[in-house]
Amino acid sequence: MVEDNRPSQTISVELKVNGENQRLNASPSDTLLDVLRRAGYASVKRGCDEGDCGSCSVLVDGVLQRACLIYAGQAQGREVTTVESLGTARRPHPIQQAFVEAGAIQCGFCTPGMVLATHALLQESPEPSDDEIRDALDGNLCRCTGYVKIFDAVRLAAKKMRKGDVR
Amino acid sequence: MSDSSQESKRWNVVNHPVTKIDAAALAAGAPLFCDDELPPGTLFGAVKWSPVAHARILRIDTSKAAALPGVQVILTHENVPRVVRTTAGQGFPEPSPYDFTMLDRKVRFVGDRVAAVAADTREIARHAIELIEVEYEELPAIMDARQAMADGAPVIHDEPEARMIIVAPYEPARNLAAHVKVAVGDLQAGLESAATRVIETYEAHYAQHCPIEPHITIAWQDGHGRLMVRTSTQVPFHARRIVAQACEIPVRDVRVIKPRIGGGFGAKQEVLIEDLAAMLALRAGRPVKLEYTRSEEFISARTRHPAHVTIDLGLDPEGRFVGLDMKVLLNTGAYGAHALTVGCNCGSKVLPLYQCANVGFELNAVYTNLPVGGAYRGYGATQAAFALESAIDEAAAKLGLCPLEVRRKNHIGPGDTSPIFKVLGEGTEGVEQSIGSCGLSRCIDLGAEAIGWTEKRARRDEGRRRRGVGMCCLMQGSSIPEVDMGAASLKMNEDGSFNLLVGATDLGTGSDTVLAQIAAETLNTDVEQMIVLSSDTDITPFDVGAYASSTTYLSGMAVQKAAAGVRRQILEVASQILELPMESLHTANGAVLGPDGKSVSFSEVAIRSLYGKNQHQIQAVASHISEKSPPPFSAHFAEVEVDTATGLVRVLKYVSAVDCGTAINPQLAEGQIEGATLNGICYALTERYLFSSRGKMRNPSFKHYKIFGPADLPELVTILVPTYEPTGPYGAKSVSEICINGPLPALANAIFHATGVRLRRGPFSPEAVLSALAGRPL
Amino acid sequence: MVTLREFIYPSTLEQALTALEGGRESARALAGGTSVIFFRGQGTAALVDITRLGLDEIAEEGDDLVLGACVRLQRLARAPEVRSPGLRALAEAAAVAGPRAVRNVVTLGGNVVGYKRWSDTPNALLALGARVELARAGCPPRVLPLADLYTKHPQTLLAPGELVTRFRLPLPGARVGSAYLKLAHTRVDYALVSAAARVSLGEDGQVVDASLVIGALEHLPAKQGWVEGMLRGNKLDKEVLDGVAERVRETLKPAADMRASAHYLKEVAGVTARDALERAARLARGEEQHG
Repeated sequence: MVEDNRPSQTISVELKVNGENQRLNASPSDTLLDVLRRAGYASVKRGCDEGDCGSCSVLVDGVLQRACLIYAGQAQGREVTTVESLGTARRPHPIQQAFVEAGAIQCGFCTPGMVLATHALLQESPEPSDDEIRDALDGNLCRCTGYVKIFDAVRLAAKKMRKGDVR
Repeated sequence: MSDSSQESKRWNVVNHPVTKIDAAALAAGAPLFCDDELPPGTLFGAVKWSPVAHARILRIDTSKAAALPGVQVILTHENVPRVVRTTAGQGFPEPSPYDFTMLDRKVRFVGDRVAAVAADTREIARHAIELIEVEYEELPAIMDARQAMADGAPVIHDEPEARMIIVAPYEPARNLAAHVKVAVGDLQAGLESAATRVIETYEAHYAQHCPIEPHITIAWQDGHGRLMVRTSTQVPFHARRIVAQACEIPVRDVRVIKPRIGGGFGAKQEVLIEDLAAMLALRAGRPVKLEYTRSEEFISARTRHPAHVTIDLGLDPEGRFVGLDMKVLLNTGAYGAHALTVGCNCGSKVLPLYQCANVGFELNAVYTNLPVGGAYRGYGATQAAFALESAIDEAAAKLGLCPLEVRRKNHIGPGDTSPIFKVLGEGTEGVEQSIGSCGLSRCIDLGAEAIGWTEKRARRDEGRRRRGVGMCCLMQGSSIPEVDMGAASLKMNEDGSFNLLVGATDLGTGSDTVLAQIAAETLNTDVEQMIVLSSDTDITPFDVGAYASSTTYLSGMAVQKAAAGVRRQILEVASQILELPMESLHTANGAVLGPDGKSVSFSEVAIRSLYGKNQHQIQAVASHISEKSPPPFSAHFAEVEVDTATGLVRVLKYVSAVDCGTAINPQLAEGQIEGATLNGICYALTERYLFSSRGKMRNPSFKHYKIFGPADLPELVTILVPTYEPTGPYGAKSVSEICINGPLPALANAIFHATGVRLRRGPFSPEAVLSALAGRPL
Repeated sequence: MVTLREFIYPSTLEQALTALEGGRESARALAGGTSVIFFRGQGTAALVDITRLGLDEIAEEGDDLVLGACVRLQRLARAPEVRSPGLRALAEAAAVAGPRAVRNVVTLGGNVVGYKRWSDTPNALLALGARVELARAGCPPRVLPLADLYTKHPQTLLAPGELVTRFRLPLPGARVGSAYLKLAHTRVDYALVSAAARVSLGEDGQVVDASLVIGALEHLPAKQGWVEGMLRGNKLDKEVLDGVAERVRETLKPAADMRASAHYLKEVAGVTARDALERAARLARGEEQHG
C-alpha cells in the first residue's frame, strides 16, 4: 500500500511482525497503526485513530495494545502479532472459528481486534469467567452485534482451545 | 406459529442458522474493506469544515494552500459545478428537498463543507486545509427547532434553487422542510369523549450511527476514462446516479463498487463524500481517497433527527383508545435529507399499532443551523414510539390499569387493518394493507414471562437503589410498498455452483447469507454452492439498497423468483437427460430426481447445458416490488435499578420478543435484534450531542460520546416468535430496525415504575434522573 | 516548533537521565506513550523510551511498598501486593483507569506525570500517602511527598530532565482499609467524579486516621484535609458519613465540565465520598475480604 511520500526525516524501526523480521521506514510521528497498514497488514483497522475503539488492537510482545496509541518507534525490537498470523479463511485458528460459529461477526470491522483480545485473554486465563471476558474486551467497541454473540464466541473459543483444537 | 413450525420441517436451508458466508474471511482479517487496497499513486483528500453555524462566504483565498508542495487539487464553490440536489440516497425522484450543492457560497452549520483538497499525503492535505483562508459574513443562526418558524427567524435556505422535485409542501422561506397533516375519523369528538387524556410532549435527541468503519470513498478513472468509485455505501445504485448528477457526467461513466462495509445503520444511506472524492479524482487525473475521521463522523456526517413529539391520547374507562393525535416537530438540521420521510414514518410506523377510530397526525420538519438529520435505523419510529409508548404508560397509570393490559386491549392483530396505512406513506399517500401475520400477542406473553412481569410489577422499592420493570410494543415495516424494487440474477456453473448477483447491499447485516439461503432453498442445494456478489453497478442488477428493512423481504423475493426460474431451466435439461416429463421431476440435495428413483446431479445438468446439446447458459433475472409493507412486531421488557443518590440507571435485564415472520437465519436475526436493542439502550442512557451556544458539537469522539462497550452489556434476552408472512420469501418479514425503537420508552417506563418519576426527554443521564427525582427536570 | 526526530532506547537509568538532560524541548521521557502520542511528534526532538530500564519493580522495602514508575496499570490492578485492604484503593483505581488495552501500556509514573483531570491512580496514591522518588543527571535522587508534586500540575514542578523513578507507599498496619470509587456513564469513561478513601480504625472501631481525595472535579486532585480532624475518634455511622457528604458538597468548586452541571457534580461528589469512606471502613473491619 502506498500511503504517502516519505518526509525527509525518517526513522527505521526493526521489529518482528507475525514472526518475520521487518525493517519498516516511518516518519518519527507515525503510529504503529500507520506503519502496519502501510506495510499491508490490512487486518489492523483504523476506526477512530485516537485510542477509543479498539479496532487496531495488536499484540506487542504478547500484550494487547492499540496500534494507534503508540509511536512506531516504541515497537523497536518488539514482536508484533496481528490477526493475519493466526489463521486464514480456509484454515482458521480455533478462536476465529469460534467467532464464525457463534455468529459473532456481522460487519467484521471490529473482529480482528476482538479476536486478538480473546487470544490475549485465553493465554492468561484458559477458562475465563464472564467477568474476566468483560474485562478483557472492555474497550473494543462493536456497533453491530450487541456483544452477546461475541461473548458466546469467547466461551466457545475457550472450549475449543481446551480441547486442544489448536493447529 | 403452527404454520411456520410445520413449514420449517420442510425447509433444508431456510430457518437454519447457516454460517455467515463471509465470516471466515472477516475473522482472518482479509483485505476486504474499502481502505485495504489502494490503487497506485493514490492521493489523499481532506475537507475544510465551517467553524460557524450560519454565514455567507465573502472570500476564499487558496493561494497559500496551492503553493504547498504536494497539493494537487483544491475545490471551492468557485470552481465546481453548482448542481442543487440532495445527499439522501433515496429512489428517484427523491422525496427530500434539493437544497444541497457540492460546495456552496453559504455555510449552514458547524461542520458544513467549505473546500476540499487532494494532496500527496494525508498530512499535506490536512495542512493545506488549514492554509485556506476564508472570510465569513456571519448570519443569525437557529439553534432550537421551536424557534425555526418564528416570525423574523433567519432563513437558512434563501437560495432560489431550493425546491422539492415531488409534489409536497416545502416552504424554505419559513424554514419548513416538510409538512404533512392527515386525519381519520373525528379526532376532536373522540378525544372529548375520553375518560382519561394524556397530553404530553416527548423529546428524542440527536444521535450518531457510529459504524466502526468511518465513511470512505476511493475514486479513480479506469483506462477508458470511466469513473470508478469504491465506496462504503448502503446504496450503490443511488450513489451512481447522484455522483453522475453532481459531477455532471453520464451515469454510464460511473461504476460504483461496494466492498465489505464496516457497518452503516443508515449513515451510509447518504451519498455523503462520493461526490467530492469523484470530483477530486476527475480534476487530479489520479486516484483519490477520502476518508472521514471519527470526529468528522460526529460533526459532518448525518444524525438521528431530533424530534419533539406531542401526543394527545384519549382512553375510555376500560382503557380503549378513543382518540389519538400525534404532532411532530422534526429538526432536520441544515439540510432536509430524509426530513419528509422520517417525519412520515413517525406516524406510519407507530400509529397503526393500535386500533383507534379517531386519529390525527401532523408533521413540521424544520431547518436549523445544527447537524443534519438522515436515515438512522428506526427512521422516525424511534422518536415517535418513545412518545406514544410513554403516553400509553402514563394513561394506564392514570386509569389504574396495567400498561400491558391496555396494550393487549388495543393492539392490531392478524386480519386487521389501520386507516393510517392508506393515508400516510413515505412522503406520499400510503398503501392500504391488512395485517397478514402478527405474533404480537405471543411476543407480549413470552416477554412478560421472561422478565417476570407479574411479580416484579407488584414490587415497590423504597431504599436508595430501586428496581422497576417497564415495557412497550413496537412495529416497523418491510420495504416501502410500491416504491422499492429489488432484483437478482442467478447463473449456473458447470460444477453445480451458482453466481448469485444482487444489488442488495450487505453492510454487515448478513444479507448475502440470507439471500444465498433463499436461493439454495428454492433450488434444493447447499448454501456452499452459492457465490454471492453484492454489489457492483456494472455487474449486479439494480436494487434500491439496504434501507427501510427491505432486503430480506423484497430482495429475498427477487432471489426466490430468480431461483425458481433457474430451477425450471434445470428441470428442462434434466428432463432431456432422464427422458422423463418435467412435471414428474423434483430437486433434492443438488440433484434432480425422477419418480422412478433416477437422478441427475446439478453438475451433470450444467455440463450438458454448457457443453452437450442445445447449449445455453442456465440463468435467470428477476425483479420484485411489493404492494405491502408487512410490519414486524415486537414487545420489549426492561428491568432497571435506579441509584436515587446518583441518578445512575443500570439495566439489569432486557427482553426483546420479536415477530419477524420466518427467521431465514435465526442466528443472524438474533444478531440484528441484539445489536439494535443495545444501540437503543445506550441511545436512551448515554449517547448525546453536547453543543456550544454557537452550535459546535463539543464531544465529537468516543471519549465523550459514549456508546456501550462489552463491559456495559446488560443481560439481553432475545425471543424469536415465528409467524408466516404470506407475501414474503418463505414467510419472512424484516428484523433489522425495529428493536432500536424499544429502549427509550421501555426504560422510561421502567424508571417510572422504579421511582415514580417520568422522564420525557432523552437521554436518561444520571443528572437528568437525579434532577427529575428532585422535582427539577432538566 | 521543534519536531520529533528520533527515539532513544537507553538500557540504564544513567543513560536515560543523560538523554533527558536537555529538558523537554530536546528530549522527553516516553513510557506507555498514550498521552505523549497526542503531541503527534510536536514539541520535542527526541523521545527517550524508559520502559527498558527495569523500573518496574513491585517490592517491599522496610516499611514501604516500592512501585517502579514503569509498572503498568493492568499489572498493578492485579498485584497481590496492593490487594490488601489498606492498599486496595490503588488496585481499584488502576483497574478502572481505562480499557484493558490501555491499562496494559499506561504506567503508574506516566499516569502521575501526565496527569489529566480524570486520571484515577494519582487520587489513590495521594490518599494512601505516597512519596515519589525523582532522579536527574548529575544530582542525587530526591524523595518528596507526592502531594508536593500536586500543588500545581506535576509537569511544571519537575526540574528539566528530571524523571520519576519510584513511588513509596507506607505499608498499612492492621485495621486499615481503603477504596476507590468512580462515577461515570459507562465502564470505559472519564470519571464524572471519583473518590479515594483510606480509613484506619482503632480496636474500638473508632477512626484513628483517615484521608479522602476527590478526583475529576477540580483541576488537581482535591485532598480533603479536614476529613482526618472530622473523623478522628468517631465511629463511621450514618450521621458522620452524611456529615462528610455535606462538607464535600460545601467545599468543592467543580471546574466546568460539559457533561454535567456543577450542582450535580457537587451532589454526587458527596455521595461518592461517603460511599468510598464507608467501603474503606468495611474493608478495615475485615467485612469485605474479596473485592
